[in-house]
Amino acid sequence: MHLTKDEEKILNGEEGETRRRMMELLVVLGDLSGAEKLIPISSAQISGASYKTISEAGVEFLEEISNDAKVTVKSTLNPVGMDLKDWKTLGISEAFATMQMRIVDAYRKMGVELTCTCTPYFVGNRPGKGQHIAWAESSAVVFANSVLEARTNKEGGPSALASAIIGKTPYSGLHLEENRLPKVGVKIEMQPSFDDYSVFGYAIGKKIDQEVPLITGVSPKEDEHKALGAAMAASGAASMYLSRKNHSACREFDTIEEIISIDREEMRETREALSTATNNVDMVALGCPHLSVREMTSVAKFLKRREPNRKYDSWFCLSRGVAEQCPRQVEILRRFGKIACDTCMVVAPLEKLSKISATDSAKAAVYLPTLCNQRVLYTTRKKLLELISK
Amino acid sequence: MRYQARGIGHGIVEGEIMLSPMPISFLGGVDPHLGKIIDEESNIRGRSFFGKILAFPHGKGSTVGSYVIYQLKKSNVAPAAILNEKADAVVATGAVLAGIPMLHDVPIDMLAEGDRAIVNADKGFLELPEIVEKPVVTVIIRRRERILLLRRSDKVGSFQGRWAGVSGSISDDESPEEAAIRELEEETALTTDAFTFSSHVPTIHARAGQNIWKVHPFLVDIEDAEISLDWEHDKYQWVTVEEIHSYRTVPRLENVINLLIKAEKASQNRVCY
Repeated sequence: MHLTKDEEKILNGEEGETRRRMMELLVVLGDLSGAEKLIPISSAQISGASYKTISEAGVEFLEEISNDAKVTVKSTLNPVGMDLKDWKTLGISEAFATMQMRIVDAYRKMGVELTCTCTPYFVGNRPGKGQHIAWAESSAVVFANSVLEARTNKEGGPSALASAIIGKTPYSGLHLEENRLPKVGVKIEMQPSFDDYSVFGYAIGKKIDQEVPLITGVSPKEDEHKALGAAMAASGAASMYLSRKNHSACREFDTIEEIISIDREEMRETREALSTATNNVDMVALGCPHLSVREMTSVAKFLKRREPNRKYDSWFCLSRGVAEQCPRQVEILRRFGKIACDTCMVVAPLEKLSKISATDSAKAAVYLPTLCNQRVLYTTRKKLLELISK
Repeated sequence: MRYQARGIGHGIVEGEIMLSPMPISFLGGVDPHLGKIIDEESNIRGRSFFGKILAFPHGKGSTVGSYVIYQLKKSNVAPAAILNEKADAVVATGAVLAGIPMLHDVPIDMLAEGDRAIVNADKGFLELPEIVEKPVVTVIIRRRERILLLRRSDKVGSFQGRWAGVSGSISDDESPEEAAIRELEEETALTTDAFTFSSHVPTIHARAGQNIWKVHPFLVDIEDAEISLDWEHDKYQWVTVEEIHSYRTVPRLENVINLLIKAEKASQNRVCY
C-alpha cells in the first residue's frame, strides 16, 4: 500500500505508540483488502461498546488507548449494554453497570460522541452522497451505503476506532465505484407492508452472499429501508443494496448476472423459520434497529387510547437523541413498558431478565437466541402492540 | 527450509509449532484467561498455546475475537506468534492490537505439531531449521485410461506398503525430466522408446516426517510395454482414476493425478481451438 509522508511518520511512531498501532492496523487491513492507499473519512461509527459483547478484554484495550489517543473526525458510538441513566429500572446489575461505565468513560475521553445508537443517521451523523466514512454496525453500514449513498465497508469495532483516530480508511471494497454495482436482481412480486421489509431483508441476505443486489418492485420509506437493511446484514454478508420501483430497472445495469424472485410462499417460510417459540412470551421488545421519531409517533398513536397489559415486560429501544425529539410519545409509551435508551434487547444482558422474547425484527430474531439465550416469537409490529395493550 | 510469507506486526520469535488443522474462533473457542482451546471439535482442545507458535488455516466467528486475542496477551497466556494460511480481519486485528508477530500465506499443511520454527514478521519468512526440502519426481504411468499404481516395498525408506507412482529423488546434476526417465527405467524397466510424456504440472509439496518433498509430477502414456519391478515395489495394479481413492496411497497422489489429467485436457483444448 502506498503511504504519504505523514502516514509514514505515524507508522514510525513519531506521533505516539497508540497512533502508531492504529495506523499499523489500518495498513494491515488495507493490505489484506487490496487497498492501494488510505483515504480521508468524514465520520466514523464505532461498535464494540457493550460490556456484554467486548468483556474485560475490550475494557482494558479501550482504557489503554484512551490514555493517549483522540478521535480526529466526527465519531459516534453504537448502543451500550444498558440505559446510561435508567439502568436500574431495566434490571441491570451494579457490577455490569460499573464495567459498562468504564467503557463509556474511555470513549468519552477519546472524544467519541456518546450517541449510543445503531441509527447515528437520526442523531446528527448523517453523511451525504459520495462521502467516504468508516462505519461499524452492520445495519448502519447498509443504510449509509444504500439510502444515504455514502461509502463504507463493514468495519469491525477496532478498525472503525482506528479510522476515527487516524481520520482515514483503506481505499477498497465499497469505497470504489466498481464494487457498488449490482450483480444480482431480486424481484419482489407483491405489495409489501411495513412488516414485510424485515422478512425480505432476511431472505435476500441468505440468498446473495456478499454481492450488491438490485431489489425491484418496491419503493421503501426510510423506516422500511432501515428494517430491510438490518435484516439483510444479519442473515448474510451484504453491505449494500439498490432498490427501484420498476422491475425493468434491471436492464439499466449490465453487471447483473442473475435475477431471482421472492414470492409469498417464501415469505411465509422465512417468517416461520425466524420463530423458535409460539407462546409463553415474557418480553416484548421493539426497536431493532432503534426506533425513529416517525415510528415512535405511529406506535404512540396506536397505544394512546388503549390500556397496558401487564402480563409482559416490554422494552422500547431507541437513542436518547430520538427520545429527546419526541417527549410526548415517550410519555405515552412509558405507560406500556420501559423506555430503553442507549441500549437494545440484543446488546443488553437480556438473558438475565427473560427467556422468551417477541420481536418484529428479523435481525433481533437472529441474534436473540445466540447472544441472549432467548427463544423468539417473530411477529408483526401490530401483534406486538396488541400483546402489550388491551 | 525457509518459506517466504507475509508479515503482520513485528518481531522475531523462535519456538515450537502447535497445529490446528481447523479454523479457530477466538470468541467462544478459546479461554481468554487460561490461553487454552475450548472448542469441542478442536484436535488441540484443552491444550495451552501459551508461548507456542500457533498455526491454523484462518480465523472464524465474531469480530469480538480480536479483543480476545488482545486479552490473551494481557493475561500473559498468548501464543508467541501466529501463522495463518489466509489471514482474516479478525485475527489480523487481534495480532496487531496485542503486538503478536504473525505470518500469513503460510502453507499450514507443510507444518507438523512440535516443529521447531523461527517466525520473522519483520522480513516476512518462516524458517524450519530441522526440516529439509527434497526435490523428487513422481511419474504417473497410464495405459489406455488406466493408471499404474505401485505398492512400495518394505525395503524403502518411507511410506512402506503405500501405493504410489514411480518416484525418486532428483540429483543435483539432472533436470526433473532426466530424473523421471532414469526412475522409469530403474523402477519399471521402461525405456524412452516405450513411453511418451503427456503432461506435467508445477511442483507440489508434501510433508513426510522431517522432510518436505518438492514433487515434480509427470504423466506418461505407454502402449503395451512390459512392466518389471525392482526392489522398491512389491506389487502393481492397473486401476481407473475413480478407483484410486480406495487404495491407501502416498499423500496427495489422487490430487496429483487429477491435476495432471486436467493439465493434459487444457493443453489439448488449446491445440484444438
